[in-house]
Formats: sequence, C-alpha cells, structure tokens
Amino acid sequence: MGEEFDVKIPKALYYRIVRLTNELGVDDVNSFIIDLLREAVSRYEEELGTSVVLSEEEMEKIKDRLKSLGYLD
Amino acid sequence: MVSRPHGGRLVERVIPESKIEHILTESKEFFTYRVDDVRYRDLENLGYGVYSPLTGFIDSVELESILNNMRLANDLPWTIPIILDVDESFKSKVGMGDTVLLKYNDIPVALLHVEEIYSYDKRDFVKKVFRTDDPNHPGVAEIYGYKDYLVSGSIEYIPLYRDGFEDYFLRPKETRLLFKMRGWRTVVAFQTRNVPHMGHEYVQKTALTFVDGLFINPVLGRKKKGDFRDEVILEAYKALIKHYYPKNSVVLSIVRYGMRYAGPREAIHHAIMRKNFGATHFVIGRDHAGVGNYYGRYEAQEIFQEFPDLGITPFFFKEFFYCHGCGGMSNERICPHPDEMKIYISGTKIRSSLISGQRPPSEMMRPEVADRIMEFGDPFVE
Repeated sequence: MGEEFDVKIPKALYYRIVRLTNELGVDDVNSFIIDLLREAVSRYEEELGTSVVLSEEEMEKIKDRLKSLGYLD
Repeated sequence: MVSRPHGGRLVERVIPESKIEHILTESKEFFTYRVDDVRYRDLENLGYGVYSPLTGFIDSVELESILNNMRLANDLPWTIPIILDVDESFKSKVGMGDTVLLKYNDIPVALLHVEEIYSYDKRDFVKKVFRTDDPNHPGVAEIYGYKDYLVSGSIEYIPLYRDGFEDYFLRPKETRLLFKMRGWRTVVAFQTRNVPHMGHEYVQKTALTFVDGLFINPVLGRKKKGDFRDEVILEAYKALIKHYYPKNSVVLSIVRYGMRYAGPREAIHHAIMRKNFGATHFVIGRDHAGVGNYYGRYEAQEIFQEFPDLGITPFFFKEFFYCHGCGGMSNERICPHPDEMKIYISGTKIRSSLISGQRPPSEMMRPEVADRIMEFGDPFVE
C-alpha cells in the first residue's frame, strides 16, 4: 500500500462493521472497509457515464466504416 | 449505456493520417529504436485506447504500484505492467524530454516522448506478475531476456503497419458506437485464441442469455508451431455465427495482443481491455491466460474478489461437455450424471480429426465449422 490517510467514522458504525466482518469470517477490518469504499466509489463513477465524445464528422466516419464492413445495415 | 472506459476517459493517441508525412519528415532527426512484436501490439493498444487510461509506457512509480498493489498510483486496478525495455546504449544516447521514433519491421509505428529511464529488478517483477520465477514459464523467460532498463513516456501511434487483418479490427470508439447503435445496454465479451468448439459455443450462448449482445474478440498475436492460423480462427467463427447465432446479437472483431501467460493477473488485464471496448461483462473460464500447471484451474476467477471496483462484471464458467444423460451440452454445476455418460471436448481429438480430413464428433464441433477449417488444407502454423 502507498501513502495512507486517516478518516474518522462514527464509533457505532465501526462496531457494526466489526460485527459484520465477524459474521462473514473476514479477518482484516481495514481491508474490508477499503473494499467497500472502492466498490461504492466505482459505482458512483460508473453512474457518471461514458465520457467518450465523438464529433458529428467522426461519428459519420465511423458509421460509414461499420456499414462498409457489414457491421451495420 | 455501455461500460464507462477504465479511469473514466477513453484515451486515443493516434497521429491523424493527414499529419503522418510531416511527422515522418520531422522524425528523421529523432533517435530510432526497434520494437518487437509484443511491444508493437502494446503500442497499437495504447494508441487506440484499449489500455485506457494509460498514455504510454509506465514509469518507475507506476511499476512499483502495479507490482505491489495491482493498482496504478491513483488506485485504479491495473495488473500487467506495460513496459519497454532498453539497453545501456539507448540510455547513453537518449535523455528525458527527447522524442524517439519507434519502428517495427522497419516501419515507423510510434513516437515516444521520453520521461524516465530506470532500472528494475527482474526477479521481483516475475515473482509478482507471474507468481513464479521459474525460467521455464514463457512469460518469466521473456522478462529474463529483456534489456536492463525500462523507458517510460507517452506515445503517439503511427497507423502505418499492415498485417492484412485491418478490416477485422474495430477500435474501442467504433465498438462503443456500434453497441449503442444496436441498442445494447449490456455486452459480454469473450476472448479466444482458438477455433470454436461446442464448449465455447455453449459458454457464449449461456452468457448471451443474460445480456443484450455478445462481443467475440479473438486475440491475434504470436503463435507457436501447430496453432491454428489467425485467418482460420476468424473464418471458423464466421461459419459458426452464420449458422448458429441470432443475427445482430454478435459482433466479431479482433484485438492484436501478445499473451503474457500471467494467469490471474492477466485475466484482470483482459477484462480491463474489454471494458474499454465497451463490454459490461467478461467471460472467465478454466485456467484463463494460464500455461502449464503454474496456476490453479479457477485461480483466474478467484482474483476478481480483490477488485470490487473493476467496473466490468465477470461471468465465471466451469468446463462444458456433452452428456448423454442430459441429452445435450452440460457442465459440472448442472449435470448429475456419472463420467461415463460424458464426452469431454478434447482439443487433441479435434485436431487429429481435422488433420485426417474428417469432421470431429458433432458433440465436439459443428460440422459447418469443421468443414470451413478443412477447406484451408493445412490450417496450422508451420
């Protein structure tokens, strides 16, 4: 792991997570929280959608190629 | 909506055709460096965004992060280092800020804007990437044969090299638009390096049952003697799709890529590549990207647990076989019958049938596929 930061979370939430990890048989609470955060962050990023922007000219060029290769009718 | 590119942005670093001549004139003053087949294919993938968000060969900070954390320094999952090795002579002639012209088979293929030249520990590299330092592992042997330094820097791809498969290659920008125009919101990608047999077909069709479209993405890369030739693989797939797949449910398009045989780590890398093409799901079968007995049968599936933020969903499959008890294709998760009722698909048996000019058993390969392969006479790499 590279550089790390401390983030404060409510004590009650922390113990709730500990109880959950006990039930799941997970040993490392810290790694579990990191995984949860990564999953949540990734989900929000996905919701932002694709950032692939094509100009009209580029889109037409691609459509022409796809048609000429038989991928589009 | 198709998958968001890895890291949020699809990178394209390709010199437009209108500017190539000018760039080539200018590049006569640049130091020239020749790259091998694998690096050329990496350059194409960097250029067209298959490796998004990478913009070039990685530096020492990224290498350390990938080796130790299986992530880029910005925390994004990334498991296979994309590197270019250079020797002492390169190091003595090229410095930070220089531009180098990269050539493959004497054809200019990219400009490299040098940022760092650094040494690396090959043993540490192979133990982390391949989980072994056994020089008999082909990926390990390749790294041990690399030169002693790595060079990092962004690249600009020069699309001049031709291998005859240009019409079978769709760039990520093109597949993304194609998926969108077909109305596919979910797309499962299937990687292959072989001609299709019944096991492949049933994995693909089972996956397709749950999504809108199937993206069959054969890897064209270095081959060893006895492998099926690239054109044979493509024609065999075209025959299968024509006779056995619903129209407009499948896209067949290649990717040029040099396999590393890094098993679990490479499975993640393959998933990221398909995410950049726009796939939302990716098929991982038995011993994906493995070689010999270096990895467990389903180790490449287990590693996905470590990447809840990958942004592409794996579909895990067990081995398919024909079962007389079930009366069709089945797999160990759904079949209750004993082994003697099963016909396991054997690559060796399929090959020997094809070599002798006979169709393999229909439980193993579709007759139309077998016929198309046999039309080639000798379908294998010499």
